[in-house]
Amino acid sequence: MAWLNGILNKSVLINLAVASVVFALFYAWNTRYDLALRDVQYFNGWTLAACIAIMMLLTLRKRMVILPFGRVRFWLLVHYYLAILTVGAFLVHTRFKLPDSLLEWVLWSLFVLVAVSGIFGALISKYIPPKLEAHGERIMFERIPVFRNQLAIEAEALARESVKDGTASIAKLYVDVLGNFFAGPRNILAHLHSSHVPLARVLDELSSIERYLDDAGKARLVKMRELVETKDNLDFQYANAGLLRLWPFLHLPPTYALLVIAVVHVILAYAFSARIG
Amino acid sequence: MILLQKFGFKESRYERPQDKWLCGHLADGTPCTRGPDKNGKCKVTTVCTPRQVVAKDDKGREIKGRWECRRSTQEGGPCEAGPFPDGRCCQMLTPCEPQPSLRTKRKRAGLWATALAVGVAALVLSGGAANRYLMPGPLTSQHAGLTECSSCHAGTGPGKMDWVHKVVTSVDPKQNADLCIGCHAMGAQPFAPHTHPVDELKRLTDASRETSKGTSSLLQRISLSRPMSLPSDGAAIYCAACHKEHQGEFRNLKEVSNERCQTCHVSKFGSFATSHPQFSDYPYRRRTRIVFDHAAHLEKYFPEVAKDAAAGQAPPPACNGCHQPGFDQKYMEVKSYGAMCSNCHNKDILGTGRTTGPKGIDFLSVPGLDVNTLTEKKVDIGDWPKSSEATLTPFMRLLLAASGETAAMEMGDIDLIDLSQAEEADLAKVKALAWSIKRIFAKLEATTLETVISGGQAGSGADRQQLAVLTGAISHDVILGANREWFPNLQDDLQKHEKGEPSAAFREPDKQQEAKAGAPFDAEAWAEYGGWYRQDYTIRYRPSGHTDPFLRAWLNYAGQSFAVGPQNPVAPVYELLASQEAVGRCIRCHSIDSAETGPKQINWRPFYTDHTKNRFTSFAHKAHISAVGTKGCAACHELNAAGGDYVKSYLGGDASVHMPNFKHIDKTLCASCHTRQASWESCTLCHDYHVTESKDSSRLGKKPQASAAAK
Repeated sequence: MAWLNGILNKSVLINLAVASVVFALFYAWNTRYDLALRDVQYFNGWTLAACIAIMMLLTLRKRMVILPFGRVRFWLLVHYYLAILTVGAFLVHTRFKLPDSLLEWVLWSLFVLVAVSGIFGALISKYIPPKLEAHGERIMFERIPVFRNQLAIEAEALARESVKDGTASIAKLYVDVLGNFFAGPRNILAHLHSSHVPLARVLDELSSIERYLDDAGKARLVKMRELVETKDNLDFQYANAGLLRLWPFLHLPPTYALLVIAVVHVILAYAFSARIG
Repeated sequence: MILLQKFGFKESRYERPQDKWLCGHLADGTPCTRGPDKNGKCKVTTVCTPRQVVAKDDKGREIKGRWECRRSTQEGGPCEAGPFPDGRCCQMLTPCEPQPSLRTKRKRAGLWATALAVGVAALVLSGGAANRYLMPGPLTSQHAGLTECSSCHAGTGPGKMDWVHKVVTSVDPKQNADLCIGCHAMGAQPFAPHTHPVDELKRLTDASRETSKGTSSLLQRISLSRPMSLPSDGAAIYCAACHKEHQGEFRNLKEVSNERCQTCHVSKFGSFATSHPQFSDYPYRRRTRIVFDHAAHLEKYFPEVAKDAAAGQAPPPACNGCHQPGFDQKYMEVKSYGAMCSNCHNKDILGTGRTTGPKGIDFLSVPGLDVNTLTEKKVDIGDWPKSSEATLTPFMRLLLAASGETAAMEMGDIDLIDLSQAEEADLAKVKALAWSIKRIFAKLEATTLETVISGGQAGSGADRQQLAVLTGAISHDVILGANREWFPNLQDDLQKHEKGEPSAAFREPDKQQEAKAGAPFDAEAWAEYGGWYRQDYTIRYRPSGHTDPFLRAWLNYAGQSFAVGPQNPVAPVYELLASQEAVGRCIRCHSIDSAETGPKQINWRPFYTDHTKNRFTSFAHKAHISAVGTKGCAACHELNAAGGDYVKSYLGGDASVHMPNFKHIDKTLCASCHTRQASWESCTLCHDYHVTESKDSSRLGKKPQASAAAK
């Protein structure tokens, strides 16, 4: 739960409290509408739509880099805490029940997908960057392939050099294990949950040949160990930074689909409204 | 660990993550420095673009020199080989197939998702099963037969896309609600609160406000919400305000939250046990319609019957001997007269248990007159039976009045049997009465009783049926036989009287003969099974049994005549039939509801489920049967020890003033089970919303057709 303590700091708790109070006010107002024999679905439905519209302003703000619309960080916070209200308004709008028809299921599924991916994204956006900072050198994601290639070349060169000296242990290990290790991103899942097992396994392999090496060979082994550790950090950065770049694929495209189906939903709601007064 | 990343103008390349396209060699770790163009085309062929050195001579003229390599420092700086003499780079690059950046991929995914959503929506909206897919949820099973949207949604048509038209057209909420009440009859004011007359609601509200004053706490009085519109301003509450469709097959459309009820109600409260108002006079708000003294029957009559054990007579073993659930299993109704009462009470109706007086109702009579005195004083009344001691029956008075004969009304307190002390004026009145009675009998011989009763006015079909029952289907022979026996020279006497000539009986008194009775004949016994008979110069009707139509029709008719006031010609008939000792003894069991002035409503039927139609409360007996335990019905219905005044309750006409046989039920008895945790305590469990008619109008029922006789 340490990660949770890291997320729930004082300011977050205050913001959550404010969001909760706002939701409570909304719920009270919604209940008032309901008790007053009004068609409360219009009230909570339009509240939900308004929340979604305001959350969409984050995207707009990101595109407008020149106009002074406040910092993106501010809009991101608005996005986060409004999302809590939006989920609440959605639950109220759906009367805390599962849908009954195809179109409603599509709409419900899209909203749930957007909401769940959004919550997931918010959590990992808070959790992963400190993890990346704390884990070795922080590498720009776009440069990772270049560095990976660079390390692979160096490792291969080291293996070739050891052959020339007549100590083939490192070269053999390179052929059996290290070559594949340096060839591309490895141990993605292990890195996502910060497992050191894959690295330890490779390092153990390196340690196991140390006794067969002379001093020059041991120097190369030290060098190779550094390359392995650097490559492991590279994989760690790739896995976690990659996750930060991939989750929006589950958030943004469904959002656009959600907007389309929501518009259809609104049109249908007005077309078939009983208009109770 | 080796530090890989360097930052600086010469140490690291400039990253452009916003670019739409990336070099295809990036995946291999060897991207070119220039990258693809904005259209995703690879535009590099060589490592660098060499530059020609240009110098100037002394005269300032340009001198083109050697080509220099322009490879960047990050890539190792100028190469050793340098450019070709023609200025071309000596290191050729392999062209790549540029790859879209993550940003571009995300944008594409967004477009695809949008297109997919639009496609799905288009398919759903225009497909053959559009109605099914467009519905927010299945209809309740009760509405499963409604397959067209237009059945409930005004403004939509049967076509697939007709609903689009409704988006831009204005549909009044009432139009939708009107479609509901096309099937669901909700009375005259379907959109009024409680579908009930607003004036009566106001009256009830004022009464409730008065009784609940000071009893509710501050918290209970807080009103979070007000109704969207107050009914008093003419606004309405439409069906969909409470009944939410498309919530699934098993959705209870009648489900309403307690809080919604209390939005409008002035008396607000929390839980049933703690703050619901105490019951007042529940459930015995009025006396029973049938006068049945439970205490007397259970403690006296039934034990006596059990001891006596006469043939065919047996007391009911338990409550269910007389009471049974009604058709909806909610209210207990009583069994029929034949199943419960007839063994003991038939003799009261048929008169077989009557020891004095006639067993039939005196309908038409020839009142006894002091014929000798009249003869002495030369008062000509024609033939008149000397031995008659009959009195002028209320029916006779009514017929005389209906025929325009006023003589009976002018008689005052004249003693018809002894006229020896009568003055001339009184004798003249008696004479007029005698001839008016003769005219009535003559008229009845020539025309129907219905015509006489109705004053000769043609009525509607309903009037005719009512008149037929009122006459008891009397036979012409009954009248004819009476006239032959009592007035043998009726027509001759009347003709002479009309001409002002003395009648035969007056001129030849010696020849006047009393009609001689034949052999001893008990006409009353002859009519044991009911019907008309003649006895003691009176035509009588003997009831055929329970629910005798003649008695019932006359009691209804006479009772309703009080609508025009107590002084009306039919009132004496009512007094005759509605007395405790009257023939048939109807009123001993069938109670009468009446205001001080107004019609008298005779309760022919005991309580039955239809009586609850316009109640605001309901109760389901069946659901409680398993909860009463060994005490049975007595668990709730406890006999009232002070029930001796039960019968006295019926002396007045106000049904609400009474002394019930059973104790009123206290709220705590219900609250012992009905809590939020068990057995529910929702408002609608006991209270009905739709009460379509006024309570007063339902209680009094429909007024009978006024007839000419009532005038």
